[in-house]
Amino acid sequence: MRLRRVTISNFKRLQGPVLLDELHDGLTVIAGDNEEGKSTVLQALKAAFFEHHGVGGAVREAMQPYGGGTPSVEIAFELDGTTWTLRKAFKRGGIELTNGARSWPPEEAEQQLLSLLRFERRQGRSEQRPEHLGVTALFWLDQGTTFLVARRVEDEPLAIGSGRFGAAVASEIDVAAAGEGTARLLETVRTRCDRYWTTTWRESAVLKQDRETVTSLQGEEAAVRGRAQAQAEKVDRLERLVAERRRRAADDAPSRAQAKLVEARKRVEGLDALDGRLAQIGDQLKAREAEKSRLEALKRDRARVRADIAEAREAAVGLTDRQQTQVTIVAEQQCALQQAEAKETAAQDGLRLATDVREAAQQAVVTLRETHERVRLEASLGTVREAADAARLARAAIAGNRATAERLDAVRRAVGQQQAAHAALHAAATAVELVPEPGRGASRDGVAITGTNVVHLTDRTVLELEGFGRIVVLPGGADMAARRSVSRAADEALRAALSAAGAAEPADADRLARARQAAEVEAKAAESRRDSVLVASGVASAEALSDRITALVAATGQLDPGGDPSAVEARLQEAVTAAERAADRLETARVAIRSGERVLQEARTELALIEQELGGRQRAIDALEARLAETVSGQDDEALAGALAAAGDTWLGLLGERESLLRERAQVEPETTRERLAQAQRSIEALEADRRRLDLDIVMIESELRGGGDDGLGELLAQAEARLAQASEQLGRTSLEAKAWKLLHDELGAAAKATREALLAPIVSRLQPWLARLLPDVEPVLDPATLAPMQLKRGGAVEPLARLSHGTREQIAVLVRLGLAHLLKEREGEAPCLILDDALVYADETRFDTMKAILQIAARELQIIVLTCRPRDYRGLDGRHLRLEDCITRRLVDPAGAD
Amino acid sequence: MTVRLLHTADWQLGKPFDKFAGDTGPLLREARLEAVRMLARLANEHQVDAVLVAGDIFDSSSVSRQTITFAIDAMRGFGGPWILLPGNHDAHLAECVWTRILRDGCPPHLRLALEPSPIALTDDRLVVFPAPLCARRTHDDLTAWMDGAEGPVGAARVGLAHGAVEGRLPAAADAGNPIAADRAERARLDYLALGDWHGTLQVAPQTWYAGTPEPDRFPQNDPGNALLVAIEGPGHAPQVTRLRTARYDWRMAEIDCTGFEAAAMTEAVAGRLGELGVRERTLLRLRLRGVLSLAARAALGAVLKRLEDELRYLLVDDAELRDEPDERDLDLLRDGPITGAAVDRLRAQATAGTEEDRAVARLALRYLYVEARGPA
Repeated sequence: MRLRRVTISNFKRLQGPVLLDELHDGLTVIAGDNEEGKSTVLQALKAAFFEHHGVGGAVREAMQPYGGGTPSVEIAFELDGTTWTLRKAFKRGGIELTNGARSWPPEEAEQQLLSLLRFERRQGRSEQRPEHLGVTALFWLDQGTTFLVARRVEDEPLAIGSGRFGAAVASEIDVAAAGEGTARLLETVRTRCDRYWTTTWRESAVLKQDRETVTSLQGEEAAVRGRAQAQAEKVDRLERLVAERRRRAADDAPSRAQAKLVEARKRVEGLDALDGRLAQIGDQLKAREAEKSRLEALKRDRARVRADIAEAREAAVGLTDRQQTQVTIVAEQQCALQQAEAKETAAQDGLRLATDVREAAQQAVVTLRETHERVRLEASLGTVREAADAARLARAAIAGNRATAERLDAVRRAVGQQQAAHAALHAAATAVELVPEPGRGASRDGVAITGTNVVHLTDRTVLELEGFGRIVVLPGGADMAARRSVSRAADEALRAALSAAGAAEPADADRLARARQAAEVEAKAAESRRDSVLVASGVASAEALSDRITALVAATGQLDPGGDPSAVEARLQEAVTAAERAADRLETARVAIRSGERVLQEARTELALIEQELGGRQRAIDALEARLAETVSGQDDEALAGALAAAGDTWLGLLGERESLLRERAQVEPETTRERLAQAQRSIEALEADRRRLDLDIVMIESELRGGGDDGLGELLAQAEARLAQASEQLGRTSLEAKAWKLLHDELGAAAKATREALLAPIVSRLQPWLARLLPDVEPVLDPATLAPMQLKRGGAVEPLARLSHGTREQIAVLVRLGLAHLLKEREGEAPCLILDDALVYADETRFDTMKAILQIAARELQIIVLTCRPRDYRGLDGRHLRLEDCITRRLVDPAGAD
Repeated sequence: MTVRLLHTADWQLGKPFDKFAGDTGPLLREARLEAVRMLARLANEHQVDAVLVAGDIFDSSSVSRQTITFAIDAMRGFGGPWILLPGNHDAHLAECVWTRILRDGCPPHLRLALEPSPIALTDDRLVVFPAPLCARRTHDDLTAWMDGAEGPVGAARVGLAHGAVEGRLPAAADAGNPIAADRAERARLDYLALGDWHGTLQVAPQTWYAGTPEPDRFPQNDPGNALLVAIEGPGHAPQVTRLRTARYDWRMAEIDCTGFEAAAMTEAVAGRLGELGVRERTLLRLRLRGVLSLAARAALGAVLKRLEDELRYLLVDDAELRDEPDERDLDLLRDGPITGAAVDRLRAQATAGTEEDRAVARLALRYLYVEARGPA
């Protein structure tokens, strides 16, 4: 195929019309910027050739022009020596196909395209697959997809051309390639297999359905068979039971059992009579035994009463002895108590005496202590009075001295102020230096001036100079007057302060102040001594102390405190000890009295108890003797012995009779006899129960069978068996068919694979030169199923295509197309048009240059159209160079004449 | 005065025929009931004294209530008596089809021969000695009691039994319920009416199998009849007349297809089959054998398909028919390299391996031929 002219209108971004005219053999480079519509050109070509003009849905929407209108494409192309014009607008009736000789109505035109370009029409909304584009589009390489490696055979675009390429080289190796007929056959067989198998050869569809039918019917048949079998078993059981009932009816087992029962019952009646007599004797024996026991008990009672009387009397004697002993003990205890009481009295006297002695000693100790206290207090009183006198003197001195610390401070401040005033006055004084001639003198205010010749004058002063006369000096100014005034005030203040302190001079004031301070110290020391003695004596004043001494004197007199206190204390201690001992003796006597009283009480209590018991014994003896007398009065001992002997004889007679009857009973074997009767009764009951059970079983089974009879299980089973047999036969046929189709599929597949593998070598030989131009020493390894290169062999090493770079894969894809296009050119005389849409963008500069050279060589025999956004990269290639923007015309192309 | 009997057996009412696809099964079921109605008409037509049904009236002891009801209704066409004998399919068990009929109230025109005791009929001119089966299978000859059985003086003695007459039937039929071949003679029977064998057959003097009145299988043993039996009196040989009752024609054919040409396949098959009669009532079992080319086999397939469409039922057994591609087949198949290689491998497999492997390979070869050839 060679494209000659393409006009695109209203197709996506190409509002157009865009006219690609004068497309010649060889190379054409169409340049366009990004988003200008280069890829749209390729999409428009594909849509025009391979999409139905009436296509709708998403496919139609994908062509929708941005500016509105009907997408339209007109293509003039040459194929097999014929020039064709296809005008397609994507709307109803929007196709026109002519070849100069004729044109076709719309639907036939689409059919003609199908047959011309050998592709399959996409159905409905199915995804577009390589078979929907045919071999032609294999040579149109989209932008950015040529490096992709298909993971599945059906995804590899080259696969759809494998048959055609194989056919092209088949004759070279004496192998007929699998043509389209074979492909159809393979597809048909695969489709037939779909009736029976999944794609992974698991049972499906018809085969699975038939097998499931058989399984289901097997289940149904088994179920019905089970029910029928159960019913048959019930019928068999009913047969057996009815037969059993007949057999029993013919048998006389019940009458035999009845005869046995009568016989057993007779024997048991005899046994019952024997047991009755035995029971009677038993009762009599019990009565006799009771009488005998009663008489023996009476006899034993009398003996026991007599023994009790004797024993009671013996005990009374013992008690009388104990009574005497106890009387003696009481008397002894009374005597001992009296002795103890006498001891107590003596002890009380001793204690009183010792207490008096102790109290006297204690008084002596007190008196001595008070005397010592009085002497101490008298000393303290002296000290207090002395200190009080000293304090009084000191306080008197203080009272006569006005030079307090404050007044002294006032004097000192006045002195300071006076000195300051004098200094200020002196500083302003008029200094007059007198330099008398020898022998002459001078006086001041009449007072001769001696010593220094310089006088300082602060007030009007009259100087008399010998030999000169008088000089009156008037130191001048108001300031001087003020200074003088201040000086005089200071003098006055000092005098006042000195007067307040009682001093004539400041020095007197200091002395007086020191004397006052010394007197204060002395007064405080004396008062402190006085107070500490008072505190030590426990009184507040000297008067209180004196009163206390007076009181002590009144109590103890003016005793000499010179006595020995330790001797007095020792006597006191001895008196205390003697008193304690007397108290101990008194306590001991009292304890003895309490003990004696308790013992005496116990002895008296014991005596009372003995006397009480003795009384009780005597009353018991009296009662026993009364009881004995009573029993003997009714039946004396002799009569009682006679009655006892008679009862024993009667009892022995009855015992003998019973022994005889027991021997007789033992011979009858009572247990066996009764068991035989029980057995006979059980036999009859068992026979009856069996009969009833048998009847019941029969009735039950008959009832069950009647209930299930109308189900027609026999028919149902026959039906189920028949259906199962039919289904099994059907499954057998289906299974055979399925296996046959699978076998045919496998064999055809194996043959096809072998053929494809045989065709690989010549195809590789066509690809090899083109690859070698880019990748020397490399041999492609093709996938037999698709003819797509899967690996590269290089020096014995094999490298999967998927591991190569995007660029290398892209370049190989282009080279493979070149090789295949030349193959078709060589074998079919017609090569497809190669269109590359920015297909070498991943190539480095060297590779790109090489690829350009290869394209230039290939273009000698092929029509190659390169769509690129980098036209400068293709400069230097010998071919036609177009810019897409230059191809936009104002002429509207509407092949269908609409709009 | 001549006693007239209608002897029949093996109705096997309730047989499902579910193996037959489409409406054939129900039609065959209905045909068996229709046969009973026809027997009633024949009984009236020939004014018989009784209809003797020698066992297997029902297909099993536990048929549906509907089957019993329809059977009784079908017999109402003849006022009776119908003497019904339990056979091995409907043996008189403790609970069975007979106990159900009795429980529901047996219609007066039916006589259930459930006990081995004489049944005197037609004013004591006829006495029937039945030998009912009380089990599905017995090894005792239940007809033995007839030897010493007495009936009314001057009555024709007729035995009624169901089983296999020893030594007179194929071995497979002898498997149980034996009947002595000389029973009629030993029991002084004027006629022994038998059931169990589905074809009409006289197996001994005075001893007949009536066969089923409506065929139910393909064996060619003359089924589809009832027997009209006329007995002039004790000691007279019975006159037995075969009355045709069958509605459906169960036919078997065997064809050797060797040498059949694809182009003349229709004629070749038709020529071997001959006249098929009323096709809607014809059931054909066709055994095919021989060797055919793939082309001829494909043509045969088309002929058989047409035959199947035309007949009530067609059962083809082609286990012995073999495909063998001839040169023309191979020319077609070897047109492409792939099909050629596949044909060679399939042909090899068609003669090796298990029987199933060979059958699969042959069928695959046939499929290949049909697909490679395209629509005929």
